Amino acid sequence: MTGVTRRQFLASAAATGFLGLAGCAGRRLRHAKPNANARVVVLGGGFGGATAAKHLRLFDPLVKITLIERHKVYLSCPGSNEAIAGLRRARALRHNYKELVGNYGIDLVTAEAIGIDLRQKAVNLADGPSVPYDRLIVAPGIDFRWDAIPGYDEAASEIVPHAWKAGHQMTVLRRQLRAIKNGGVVIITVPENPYRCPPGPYERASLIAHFLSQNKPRSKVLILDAKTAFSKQAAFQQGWKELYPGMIEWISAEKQGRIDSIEPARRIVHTEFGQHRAAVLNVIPPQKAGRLAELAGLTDASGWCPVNPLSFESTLAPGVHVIGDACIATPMPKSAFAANAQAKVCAGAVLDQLAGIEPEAPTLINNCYSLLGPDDAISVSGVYGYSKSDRTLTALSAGESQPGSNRRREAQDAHSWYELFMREVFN
Amino acid sequence: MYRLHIPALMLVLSAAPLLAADLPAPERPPIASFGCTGCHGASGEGYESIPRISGKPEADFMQKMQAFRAATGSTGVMGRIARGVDDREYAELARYFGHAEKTR
Repeated sequence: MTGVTRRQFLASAAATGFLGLAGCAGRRLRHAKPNANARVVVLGGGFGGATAAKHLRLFDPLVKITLIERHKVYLSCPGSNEAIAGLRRARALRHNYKELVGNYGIDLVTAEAIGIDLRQKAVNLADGPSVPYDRLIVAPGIDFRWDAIPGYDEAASEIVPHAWKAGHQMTVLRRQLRAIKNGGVVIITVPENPYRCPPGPYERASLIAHFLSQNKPRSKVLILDAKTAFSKQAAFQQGWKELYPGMIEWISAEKQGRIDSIEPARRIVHTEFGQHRAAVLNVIPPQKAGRLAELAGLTDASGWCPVNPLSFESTLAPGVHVIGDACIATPMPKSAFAANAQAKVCAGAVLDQLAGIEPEAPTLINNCYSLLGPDDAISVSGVYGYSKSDRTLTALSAGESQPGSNRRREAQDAHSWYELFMREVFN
Repeated sequence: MYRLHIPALMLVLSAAPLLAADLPAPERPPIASFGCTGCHGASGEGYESIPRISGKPEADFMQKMQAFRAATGSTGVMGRIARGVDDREYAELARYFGHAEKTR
């Protein structure tokens, strides 16, 4: 009780209805016995997987945790639009697993997983012995539907980058932007929902416009959208008007924003009635759950993974949990923040289930910032609860920045968030 | 009228950390806190413009959340979030972050 006065205690006790004291019978106090024999394997070391591995340890001092990730260094997608526009060094997007492994006793296996053996309960690796599990958490992120847009396949992405995963693709787009002639048009194509980071394409358009306004002021950004509305639309469009007047044009699906095919070599986009030629063409392709989820039979006809939102356990494969962009957690968006929140709920549920306890209904939060420029940002946030009748997540509250919001303050918050979030996930 | 014996209750509370040490597993943070730490950091420590939420008196925490919820107009991130979280959860969060220590 040090540092808490009697008065404060009384006030809080009155407010809580003595919840703390009733803790032994309360729903929040969980003392699932540490499980020295249980083996939990986490497949994929992105925001979801890394967070899950860390929190398994925070919640259980003894459980055996293995994290399988093919890369030694993780490249963050949040911040990558800044890197493309030259506002952030690409190196600053790099995060490694050293502290995670050292601080939380996680067994890191740097290897390529090639399949999940649901019957034997083991993850098969391209090189090395398979890794057995009692429960498996899969966080495979996204893959692209290379068959969705005629003319646009993986080979074409070397000329026409998607840059929707950080790393090489980001560098390609950055290089092309720097080489563009003053007056050249940058075209960004945006798929239908759902896809990774709903406001991301519009943040990208904003930051590319910022780069162009400084370096190629006669250039323009054209967004061809397969949707008729987008995340934070009012605030984005207000910001574009103020910061980059006449520079960004958004063409909705209703106005032929939907694309038919691509000619990569000529950087031409065909729509139903016309075509657009770009100096730089950035195609963000339609997406699906990471390849491994598909291989293991964790995806449904939509290409994403259906889960029970109480535990994020796959409805198709008992004992296997799917978190992050790959899972269907509607109405939560596919974001790093959402993956982090889901991972913590999932880690708790996995330990509960190993101990034979029913997981509790979650309260999940999402919050995402988008930069309009170096000192301008807007946000979207939501709180999500569990609907017993529908057995799905439901939005308890949601909202986004409106025109006239404090964009400078939100830009400071966006930068502070990046630092805190990376520590929360990787340290 | 039923009267609470405050000193006795305080004794029980202050003994709680000792008892916790003997329990087989660490107490799990309240489930609503999993969202808070996504912005405010693993132990609610805050950084630059994002404020620290740990180590605050519980009553202050509660008041702040209720003020966020009551605010009208464009309330920013916390207004949206406060409206989706109920009083019982506020209290759990106030208690948890009030006593939260650095997790690393």
